[in-house]
Amino acid sequence: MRRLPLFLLATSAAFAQELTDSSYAAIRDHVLPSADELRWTAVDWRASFWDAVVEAQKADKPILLWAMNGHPLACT
Amino acid sequence: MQELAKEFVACADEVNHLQTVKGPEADLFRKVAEQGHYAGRVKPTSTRQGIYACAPNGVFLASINTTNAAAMAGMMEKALAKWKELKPEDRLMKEAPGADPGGRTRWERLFPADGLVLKDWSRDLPREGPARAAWNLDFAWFRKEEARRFLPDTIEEGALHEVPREIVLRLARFHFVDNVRGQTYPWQEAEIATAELAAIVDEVNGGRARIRFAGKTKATAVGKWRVNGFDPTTVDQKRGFDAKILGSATWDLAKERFVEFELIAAGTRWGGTQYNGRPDDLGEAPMAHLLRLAGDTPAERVAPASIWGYGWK
Repeated sequence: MRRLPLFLLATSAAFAQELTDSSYAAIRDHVLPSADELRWTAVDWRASFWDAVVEAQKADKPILLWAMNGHPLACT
Repeated sequence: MQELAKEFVACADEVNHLQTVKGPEADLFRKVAEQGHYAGRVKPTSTRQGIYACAPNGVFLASINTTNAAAMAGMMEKALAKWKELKPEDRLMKEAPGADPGGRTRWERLFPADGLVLKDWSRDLPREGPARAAWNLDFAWFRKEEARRFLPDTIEEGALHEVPREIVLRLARFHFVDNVRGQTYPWQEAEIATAELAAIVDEVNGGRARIRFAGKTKATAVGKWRVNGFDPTTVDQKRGFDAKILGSATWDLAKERFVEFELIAAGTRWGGTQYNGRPDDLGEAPMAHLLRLAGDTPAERVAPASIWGYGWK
C-alpha cells in the first residue's frame, strides 16, 4: 500500500484526541449526533415557508413554521 | 410532539430573510410574526425567531420561542384548537398560490444534484471539566466538476493527488469554523495559513475506486471584535482552528460521483465571535468537524450557511 505524504501526518496541534487512523472511529462516533439528538428530523420538514404555504393550501392544513437566524435545518 | 406535528404542514426557514426581503412569502410571514410572541419588539434585537402556527392565508394561530417540549406541545394544541374553529373560507387563500413566490433569491436553486453534497457536523471533543451538549450541522456543496477534483486525473491504484487549493479552501474557509455553539462567520482567505489535502487511490475494483484522504488546515485571525452576544464591548481578540484531516471515499467510475465520502477535521480551536457562544471558552480546546454524504430529502437540500462566499451564480 502506498503511503500518504509524511508531512500530512505530522502533529500540528496538542490535544488529547489527536486524529490518527487509530483514533478516527472514536472521534467520528463522538461527533455524530445520537438518535435522541436527531429526533427533530423525524418531522417531515419542508425547507421553506412558501413550500409549506402551497402544500397547506392544497391539503387544507395549518402550517407549523420554525424560523431562526440561520436555517434551522442546518446552521442554527 | 411528532404526532402533533403530523396535523400540520411543517417547515423551517431562515428568519432574517423572511423579515427583510420583499414579496408574498415575506409579507405573509411578517403578517403572522407581528401577531406573535415578539410582535413589535426592537430591543435587544428585532428578531422574530421562534415557532409559529398559522393558516395558509396568514391567520395567526399561536407562537412561541422555546426549547421546552411541553411548552411547544401546548402551543401546537392551542393552534390546532383555533384552526378547528375556522371555516375553510377563513383559513385558506382565495386563490391557490403559485410555486414560486418571487422576490427572494433562494440559494437552493443552485443545489448541485449531480455533484457532492455533504452534511457537516461539528462538536467539541472531550476535555477536562464540564462539557456542553452542543453540536451543529451545516451542508457543504461541490459542483460535479469540483467534486471530480478531489481525485487524480487518471484514477488508478496507487495514484497520489494533491487536491487543488481552491477546493480545500472551500472547506477550510467556510466549513472548518467554530459553529458548535452558534453562528459564526467564515475565515477570510488571508486568514488561512494552511489548507492541504492529499488523496491516494487505494483500490480500483468493480467499477469503483477506493480513496483515502489526509491533510491539515490552520486558520488564525487577530483583531478587535465582540465575543459576547449583545454585549457591545469590543476588545483585542484572537481566534483560530488548527486541525488534521483524515477521511475516505468511494468513487463510482460509471456514474462519475462519490457513493461514499467521509472526512474528519479534528484539532484545536481558540477564541470566539459575537454569536458563537464562546465568551467563557476562549482558550485552546479540542473541536472536530465530520463531513458525510447527505441524503436527498428536502431538509437535506438546505444551502450551506456561507454559500454566498462560494462565488456561485
